[in-house]
Amino acid sequence: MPSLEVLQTEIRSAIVSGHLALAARAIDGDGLAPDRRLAIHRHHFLHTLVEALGVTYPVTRRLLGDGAFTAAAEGFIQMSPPDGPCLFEYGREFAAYLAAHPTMEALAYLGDVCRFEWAINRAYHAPDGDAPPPPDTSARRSGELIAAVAPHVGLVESPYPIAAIWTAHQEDPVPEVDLDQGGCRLAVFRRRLDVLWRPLGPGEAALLAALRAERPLALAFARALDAEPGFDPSSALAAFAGEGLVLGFHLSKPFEEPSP
Amino acid sequence: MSAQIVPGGLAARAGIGLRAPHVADALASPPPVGWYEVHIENYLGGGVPLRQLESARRDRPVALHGVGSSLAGAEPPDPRHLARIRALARAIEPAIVSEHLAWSVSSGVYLNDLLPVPYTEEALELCARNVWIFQENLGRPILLENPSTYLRYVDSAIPEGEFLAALARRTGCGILLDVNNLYVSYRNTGAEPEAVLTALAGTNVGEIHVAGHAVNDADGHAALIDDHGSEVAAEVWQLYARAVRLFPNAATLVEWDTNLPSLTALAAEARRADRRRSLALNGEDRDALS
Repeated sequence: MPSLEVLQTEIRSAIVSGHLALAARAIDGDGLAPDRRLAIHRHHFLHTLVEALGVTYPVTRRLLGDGAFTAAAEGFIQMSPPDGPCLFEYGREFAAYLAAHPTMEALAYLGDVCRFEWAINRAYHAPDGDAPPPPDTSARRSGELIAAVAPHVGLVESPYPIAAIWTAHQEDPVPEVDLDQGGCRLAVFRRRLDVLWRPLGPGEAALLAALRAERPLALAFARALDAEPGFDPSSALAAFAGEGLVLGFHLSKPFEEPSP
Repeated sequence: MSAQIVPGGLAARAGIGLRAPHVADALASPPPVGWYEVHIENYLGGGVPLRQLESARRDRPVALHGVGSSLAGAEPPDPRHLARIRALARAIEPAIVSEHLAWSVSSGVYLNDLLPVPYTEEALELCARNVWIFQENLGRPILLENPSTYLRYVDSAIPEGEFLAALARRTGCGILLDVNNLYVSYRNTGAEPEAVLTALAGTNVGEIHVAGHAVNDADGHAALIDDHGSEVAAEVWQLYARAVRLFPNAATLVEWDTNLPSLTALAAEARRADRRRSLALNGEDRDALS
């Protein structure tokens, strides 16, 4: 008799790979081939995870069509099965998987729409976040000032009008989208129960990207000015704070200045 | 652990499993049901779903039903997952917390299924350890649900009901008796429902689930799938009546997860359960089932 750990390892391998004979020795077929019984669990594994990805990526599914989406999703699931039981956290790498998929080249914007949908999903499920306590700027304490960006805030950039594509695909029939209108930089975030997005200029996008990466404020401002000469980072930061994208500030590394 | 796992009064009126497509309707106009049960793993992010659950909690008692802690796994439950569940329970103050006698995690891979475990002494030890860890994490006893099974292991040596009863004795947990699972397992693997019910007679059965199932064909054999996608079958209502008479203080919940009907239709199924329960407790259900 294999240990429970060995048995469960064999069944997990069989279900993920589809090689059901790997675990058949442990199953009493009861009139059916044992692998037919395991096939019920293999089907459940693939079907429910395809559906979960379809909930996170509804427009990606619509763009691909059910058949192609299911085929791509099943490939992804077998390569990257979930590592935890919260399915709203599953599928972050799906856009990268699609981008590497040779049959996806016909829809150049598909990967970017997919990343946009991940940002929407993230904004929906992420907590509001807490404002950090005001930084202690008293004597003998110094460090770089860093913005606390709300955990629901995402940033998506694309050479295609992905928000327009996404919005068009909420309708039936889908209205035509003018792809020549150009690309976009989008802040995706949540206000109370609503997921929102708004277009950003190049300076705003560079600033938000640097803040999300927890770069010191001075460096984030420099990045924004590099991206858009003449940009006013102070006003942009005030706007982010007013919209709830930035919750407050903290000091990077609490170290004591040497006593004189 | 205290013996009081399910608050008194919850049994008076059946509850429903509250699923995402129904949440907006339920918040706008709470349906005529006694309480809600939700899947824990959908509410651990903290964003919109948690805000909505907090609102629903103001309308009705809420039970937290876990589907992903893998309590029948060889590995102990993930401490990060347990910490998130503890935080959710603090926020919601649930009437009941429950999980399944099933596993879903192996070597860091989550299979999104409720897989059965072989009923052996080794599995009993490991399940008892995991249920104990889960309950210690929450600081309260839970209900453990009997699984729906599609296969039997050649090494299973302990009858299912005795396995569950032994777990309850060792850990102080109660039982969530899913009568649809009893029927599905019976049809798929031959596990006699009456034997399970008899074995559970001395345990604390705090909740009963009813749900629909699908009948599929597998190489000429009927395979019953616990898809929660239809009305409760007549045979399952009969088992429900039997369970209600055995466990009259247990709260009832109607589960519906696929092919969701309207919230009104789901609430009607809960009222049907109320009538069945009332008839069963009055010894009148045999007429009602004809």
